[in-house]
Amino acid sequence: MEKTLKVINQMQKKKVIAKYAIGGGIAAIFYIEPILTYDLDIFVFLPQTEHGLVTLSPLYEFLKKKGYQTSHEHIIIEGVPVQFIPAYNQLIEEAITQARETKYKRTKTKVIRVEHLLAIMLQTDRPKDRTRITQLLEQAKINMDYLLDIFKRHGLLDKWQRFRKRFYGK
Amino acid sequence: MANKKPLPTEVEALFRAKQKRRKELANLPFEEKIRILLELQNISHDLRSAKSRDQHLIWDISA
Repeated sequence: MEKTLKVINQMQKKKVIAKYAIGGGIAAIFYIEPILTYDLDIFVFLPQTEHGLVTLSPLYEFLKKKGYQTSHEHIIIEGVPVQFIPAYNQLIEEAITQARETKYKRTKTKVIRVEHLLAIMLQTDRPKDRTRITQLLEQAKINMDYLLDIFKRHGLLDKWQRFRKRFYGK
Repeated sequence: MANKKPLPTEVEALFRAKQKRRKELANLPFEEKIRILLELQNISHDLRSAKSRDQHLIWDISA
């Protein structure tokens, strides 16, 4: 995965992407026990084109020129199926901006903070998100004040209360 | 509403041990967790190969 991250860092250096952060299952693995996942989800800010459009095309063109192949919604970078997800709402934008810097082996990268990851999962609300939320709550170190502030600012407090009632009875 | 019967002591202890093990796994270095993920992908791939055509792309890396 280090080689994959190096390519993504190179994309940022060459301004093919603006900012990025690892999200999804791999970000969850950063905080909890290893779970089965097959994608490396990369949340990205894309640079605007000269026409003011934000598009994934330059990103795919850059990678295809380097010889990387697409497979369904993924592009395989150094053996890892990567899915680039443009920041599609304010919560994702904030999550990318405030992502924590870390290293994978000797390569710098950014991973979405656990509190944002939890909020994104609550917002997305698929069955696998609900499972991962309970795993994060039980295994990760969470700043509850910060988490509640995120819920409040992004209109997720009601959903959070319903989740707590359903899964924890309170 | 059904009454919740307390679990037998041995089972309680087993669940506590499992929870402890999960927390230990959660504290492993990121690189080690990715190595375990590759093992999980391979195990899952082998199981699925025998039964289903629904295949995921497993990572072609050495962690």
